[in-house]
Amino acid sequence: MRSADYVIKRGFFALVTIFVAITINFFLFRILPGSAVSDLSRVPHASPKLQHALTVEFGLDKPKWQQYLIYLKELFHGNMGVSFTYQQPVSHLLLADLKNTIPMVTVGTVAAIVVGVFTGVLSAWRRGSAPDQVSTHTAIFFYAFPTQWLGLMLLILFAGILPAAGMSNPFVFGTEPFWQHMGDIGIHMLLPAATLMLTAYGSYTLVVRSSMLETLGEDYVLTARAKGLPTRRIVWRHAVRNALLPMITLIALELGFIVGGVLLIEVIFSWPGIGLAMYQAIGERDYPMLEGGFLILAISVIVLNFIADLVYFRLDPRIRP
Amino acid sequence: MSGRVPRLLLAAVAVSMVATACGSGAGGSSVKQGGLFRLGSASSIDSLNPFVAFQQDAYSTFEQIYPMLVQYNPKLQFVPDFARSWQESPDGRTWTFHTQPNAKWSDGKPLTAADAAWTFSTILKFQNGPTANSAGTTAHMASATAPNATTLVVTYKQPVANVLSQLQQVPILPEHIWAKYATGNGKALTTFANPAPIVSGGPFMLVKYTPKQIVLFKRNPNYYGPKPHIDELGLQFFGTYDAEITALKSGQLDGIETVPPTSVGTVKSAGFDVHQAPGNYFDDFIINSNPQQEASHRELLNPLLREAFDYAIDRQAIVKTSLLGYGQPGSSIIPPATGHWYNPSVTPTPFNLTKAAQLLNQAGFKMGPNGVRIADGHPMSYTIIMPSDTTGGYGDRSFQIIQTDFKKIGVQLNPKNLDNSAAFSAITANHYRNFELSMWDWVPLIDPDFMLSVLTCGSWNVWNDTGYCSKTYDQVYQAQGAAMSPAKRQQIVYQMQRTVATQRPYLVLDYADLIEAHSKSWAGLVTVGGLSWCSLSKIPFESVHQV
Repeated sequence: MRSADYVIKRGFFALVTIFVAITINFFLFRILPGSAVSDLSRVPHASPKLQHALTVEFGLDKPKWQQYLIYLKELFHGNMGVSFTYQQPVSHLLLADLKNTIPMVTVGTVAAIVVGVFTGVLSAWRRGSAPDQVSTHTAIFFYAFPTQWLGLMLLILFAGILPAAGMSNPFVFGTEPFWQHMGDIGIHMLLPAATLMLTAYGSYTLVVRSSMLETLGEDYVLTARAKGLPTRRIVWRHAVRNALLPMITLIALELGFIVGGVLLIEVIFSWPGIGLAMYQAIGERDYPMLEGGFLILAISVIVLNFIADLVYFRLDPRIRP
Repeated sequence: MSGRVPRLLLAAVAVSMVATACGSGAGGSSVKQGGLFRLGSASSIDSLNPFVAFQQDAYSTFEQIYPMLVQYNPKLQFVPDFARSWQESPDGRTWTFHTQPNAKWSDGKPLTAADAAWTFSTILKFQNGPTANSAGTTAHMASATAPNATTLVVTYKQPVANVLSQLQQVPILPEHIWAKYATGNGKALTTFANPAPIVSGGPFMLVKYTPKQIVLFKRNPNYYGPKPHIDELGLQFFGTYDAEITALKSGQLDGIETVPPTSVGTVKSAGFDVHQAPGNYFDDFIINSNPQQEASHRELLNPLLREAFDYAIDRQAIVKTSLLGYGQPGSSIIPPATGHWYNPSVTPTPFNLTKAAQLLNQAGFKMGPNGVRIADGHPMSYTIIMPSDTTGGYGDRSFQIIQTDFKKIGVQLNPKNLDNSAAFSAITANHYRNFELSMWDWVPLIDPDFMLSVLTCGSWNVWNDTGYCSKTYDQVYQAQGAAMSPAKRQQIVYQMQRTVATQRPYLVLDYADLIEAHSKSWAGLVTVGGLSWCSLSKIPFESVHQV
C-alpha cells in the first residue's frame, strides 16, 4: 500500500465518521421529549402566540429533515447557530470555553503520561518487587476512583491552601500584570489538573507495564544483556522505545474522551470550560450549545484517532507497504 | 433549590442578614465605610440583557444596577425607589409616578422619567417577540408617557390590582444606550449583549463580567438613593455547593447565597452567621385535575381519593427528613412568606393513615389480593412524574416517605424521572389526559396574582401543571385582579386559597426555609422576602457594612 493511499483511506473514514456523528448529534436531541420552546416561553401570562413565535423563530416548526438540511448547510459555513440561552453565536461561546479547557486538560494529561510511563517502566523493570506492587496497586486504586469523588476529596483536603473554584482570582477589578495573571491561573489549575492526572495516569501505568514486560522478553533485549550493556540503558534505550507504541493509541483515545470527561472536573472546580458549558446547556435545553459541544467532542475523538493512525504509520514499519 | 421561578421574580437565593435597622443605607457616621463584599453563588448569570436573561442572579444584578420604580422593604411593603411617590386615579386606570429629580446615569447623562416611559413603551411595542419575557409586567397596560422629566404616567385598559408588583420587576434602562436596538422588528434588543462596563443607574455600577466566573460592581457615585457603605461588590459563580462552602470556610468569600440544609451545621461550626427565613417557596404533590383525563385513571378526580392522599402524607416527616428541620409543613399555594396574602385558616392536613384508608374504603376502592387497591376495575398503581427539579434536591427523600405511606393504604407509586422540560411535556401531553401524578415545586411572586394564575384555563400549556380548569375559578381570578381595594382583594385571594385546598389539584407538602450565611466581619445585611441578594429590593446591599 502506498503511503498516500493509506492516508487518503484513513482520512476518508474519518470524514465519514464525522458526518455520521453530526447526523446522530442532530437527531439525538430531537427525539427526546420536551422542547426548548416549552422552557423559553414560560413567562408569566405567556400566550400560545408567543410559543408559536418562538417555534417559528427557532425553525422548530419545519419538518425534521428540513431542519437537518439547514443545519448541515449552516455548519458547512462555520455557523453553529445561536445559543437559545445566551442569544450569542455558539461558535464564539464554545471557542472561549475551549480556550479555557485545553490548557487544563493538556497539563493534566501530560502529567498523567509522564507519571504513567515512569511508574509503568519502573514496575516492569522491577517486576514482582515491592516498588512494582506499590506502583501497580496505587495506579489501580486511583484508576478505580470516580472522578467527581476524587475531585471533591481534593477540594476538601486543600481547602484554604489552594483556590476552590474558577481559573483565576475573580475579585480583581483592574488588569493584573501578565505573569502574575499566568501564575494565578497556574495555581487555580493545580487541583483540577491533579484530579485529571490522578484518574488518568493509572491506565498508562498498566499499559506501559504490560507492554514493557512483553518487550523485555524479546530476543534483542536478551542479546543486549548478553553484550553486557547496562540495565538502565537496555530499559530506556531499547525496551521503552518499542514498548511505547500502544501508548499512541491509548493517548489518542484518552485525549478524545478526556475532553468529555473533564465535564465532571469542570463542574466540581467551576472551571469555565466546555464541560461546564455543556453541563449548563443540558439543564437549559440549549440545543445549539449542546450540538456544538458534542460536535467538538466527536470531532476531537475522530481527529485524534486519525492522527494516531498517521503516527503509527510513521513509527511502525510493519504496517507500511 | 431550583424550582419553577416566574422569570421576572427570580427571587434569588442570597447571602444574608442580621436584621438590623435598614432602609437608610449609607450615611450613618458610626458605620464603617468601604470594603469589598465577596458573595458566592451556585447559580450563574445567563445574560446581562434583561430581555434575554432567565437566571435569578441576573435579575438580582439588575436590581443593583438599574433603577426600578418601587421596591419592597423588609416588611414586604412597597417603598420608593426611582419613584418618590405615586398616585392612582379614582377609576384605577391611570397611575402617576413622581420620579427622582436631577438623577444621573453612571455616565453622567440625565436619568429621567423619559427613560422609564421608553422602557415600558418598548416592552409593550415588542411584547409578542423580543420583549416577551417582560410582557407579563405590562399586562393590560395601554401606554406609558413622561410629560416632564420627573413625571411618569402609566395608563391601563382596565383597573389592575397589582400594578406596583408588576412594575417593581422592571429594570428601567438608559434610553440613550438602548434606543438604537429598538428599531425595526426589535430583534436587536435580544442580541445586544449589554457588555460590561454597563451604564448603570442603581447603587452599583457593573464594571466587569466574566461568564460563569464573576461579576464585579463598584459603588455608583451618581446614584440618586442612599449611597451603599461598601465600595465594591463581587459575585463569584460555583459549579457545586461543596466548592462554594469550601471557599466560604477558607476565607475566599464573605457570604454565600444559599446554604443547603445538610451544610448548615458545618457552616455554623466554622463561625459564620447563618440566617434562615421562611421561603416564598413550596413543594407540591400534583394530582391530574383535568376532567377529561383518560378513563384508566379518572378516579383521580374523586374528592374522597384526593382527601385520602392528603391525609396519607406525613408532612412532619418530610420536614424532618427532607428539609432536616429547616422548613414548615405546607398547606396553601400562597406561602406564609408572602405576608398578608397567606390565608392562615388553610392549615396543613394532619397525617392520618387510618382516616386515609377509611376514605378510600368509602370511595369503594377495595383492597386487592396483592395489597394494592382496585379502583374502577384496575389496580391503584400510578406513575408519578419526577422532574429533575425534584430529584436533583431533597425531593427523592420526600417521595420515599410518601411512597412508603401510600403503600400502607394500598396505593402504589411508580416514579418516572425526567428532566424538567420533558416532565412538563409529559404532563401536558394529549391535553393533560395522560399523566397521573407528579411532584414539583413553585417559587411564587410576593403578589399572589401569578401563583393564582397558574391554575387558570388560560395557563394550560404555559404554566399549568395540573390540568385544572374551572370557569368559576377563572372568574374569581379575574375578580381579584381587578379588585382595587386591598381588603376586598385579600378576601378574594383567601377564598381562592380555600378553593384550591379543598379541590386539591396540589397537595402542598412543605415550605422550605431560605438559608444564607456570611462572615461575622459584616453586618447590616437585611433580608427582603427571606433574601438579601434578590430582585425585590436595593436595601440589603445599601445597608451592609464592615464590622
